[in-house]
Amino acid sequence: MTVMAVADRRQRLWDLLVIGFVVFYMVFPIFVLLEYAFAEVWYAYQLFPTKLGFKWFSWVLRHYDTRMAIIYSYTLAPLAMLATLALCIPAGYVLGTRRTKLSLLTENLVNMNMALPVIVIGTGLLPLYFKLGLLNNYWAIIPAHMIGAIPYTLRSITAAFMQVPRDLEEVARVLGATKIQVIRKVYLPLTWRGILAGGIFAFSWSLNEFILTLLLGFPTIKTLPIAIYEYVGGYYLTPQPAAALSLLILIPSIFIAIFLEKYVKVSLGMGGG
Amino acid sequence: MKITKEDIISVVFLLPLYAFLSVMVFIPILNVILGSFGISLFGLSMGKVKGPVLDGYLNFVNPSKPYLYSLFFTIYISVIATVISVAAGYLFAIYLTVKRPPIWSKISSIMTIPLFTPYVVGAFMWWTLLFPRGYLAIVINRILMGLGLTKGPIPLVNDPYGIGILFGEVWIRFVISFMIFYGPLQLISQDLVDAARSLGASTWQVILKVYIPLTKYAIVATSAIVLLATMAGISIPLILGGSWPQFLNVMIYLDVTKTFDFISAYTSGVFYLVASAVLGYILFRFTARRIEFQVR
Repeated sequence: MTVMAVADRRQRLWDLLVIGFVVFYMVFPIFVLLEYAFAEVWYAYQLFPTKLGFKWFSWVLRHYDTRMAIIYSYTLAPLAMLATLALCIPAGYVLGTRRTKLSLLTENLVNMNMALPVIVIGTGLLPLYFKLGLLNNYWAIIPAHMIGAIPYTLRSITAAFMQVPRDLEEVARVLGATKIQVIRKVYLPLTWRGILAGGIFAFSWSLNEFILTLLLGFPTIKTLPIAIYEYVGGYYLTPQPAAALSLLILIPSIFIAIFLEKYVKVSLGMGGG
Repeated sequence: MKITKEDIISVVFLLPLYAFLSVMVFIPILNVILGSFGISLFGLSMGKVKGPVLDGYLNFVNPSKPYLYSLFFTIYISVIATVISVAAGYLFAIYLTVKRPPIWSKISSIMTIPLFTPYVVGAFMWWTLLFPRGYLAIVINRILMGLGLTKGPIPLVNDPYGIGILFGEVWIRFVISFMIFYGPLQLISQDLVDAARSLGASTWQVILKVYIPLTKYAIVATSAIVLLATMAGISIPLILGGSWPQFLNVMIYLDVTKTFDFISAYTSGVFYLVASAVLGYILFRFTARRIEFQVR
């Protein structure tokens, strides 16, 4: 065997070790989560469960509290998405097509939002919600979910509008298109990917939002992250239903990420505080 | 200055966003700042305190109260988590850049797992690994006891040393660090590396003399991002942290939900606002432009 071949083999071994370790580090926690979610019988003295099944999934679907958490999470997310889009599409149009001082100021103010700790905003909101009688109100949770989503959604939509050549709008107008026709025939076909990505960002953010719901909605409004926290954050630890609930939120998040990467060509990175 | 029709349209289109930000972000922040001085923006009672007072701040710096210790604990754990995450993320990105293993392109998407995992779920996954019957707890405790470093099993989650928080934070922040570093490293011209190689530089010398100097601003920026995110994130310390000492943001949560001590919560909140402003300033003023320049 030549010196080159030995060096090559050693290099491949190193690659396998380094990348193998990183992959194991990333995936192993999910493997344990799956074990807990599907473990029907798992004795304390055994390393692995002895019987696997869907017991805990039917358990979480049977219980009123966890069933409501699923319903709250999956109804609040699309509503927060629609409300975020309603706010961000007109703003994104201005920021993407008119690069004025006002646009830059708006961008900086919205981006500043990302650096602010959510717990601080939440504690500041608490007296306002109390004063307005909005604590534990389903509809009042929607704007709370929008706070963290807006910077990402607005950025995605602004970028989409920026990519539309200004000439196209002018040409369409010269040819007699109305404002509505310009939006429908020029902007929409060229910006739908950015708008879709922005909407999915908002959906995903809302699905994962934790602390604001805990401060402003709990105990009436209990979403999936709060239900998970209840099972592991208290004194009575019950990891199996928490694992089943975790999968109900993790699997859609994985699909969203794959969809965005594959079809919309954007990568998603949000954990919801 | 003449106001055009387009200016009016811009204002009308941006108005709902400004209204939203005012009500949901700016007013709450103003409320936190004023509240730390005992002034209630909404005319609500702040307990026995009637502002303006400095009670919240005096309470915060009083060594017999938990806040100062909590602040040190938050900074201490966040700095350790940042150092580990940034160092590991950088080393892994350097490894992939220098060695370019062919297998990486096929499995690179695995690295995005922590990015789309909700923090609560991520924290819970590490809890299952680190609680006394968790796989990692069993392995680590057996090693420690085998080496004679501990007499019995030590708690690795909900522990007073913040070990559980470190495990959870590093799992998420390592990926963020890696992703930020990997892009700029790919943009460094291969000619520079080849030139260093032809002058006889070893791999370590190439890393120390070429890659690190050209990415030093990215390292500072990433450290600021990771430190800010670690200090501000609440899900992980809430689930993996011990009953004492607490992260400062957990203290804020407990102050407003358990003891209703709003003035203390607001004072701790002001600390977070200051930390965000300082780290944000470092990030955007000192590094963002230079990274842009460096990449060009």
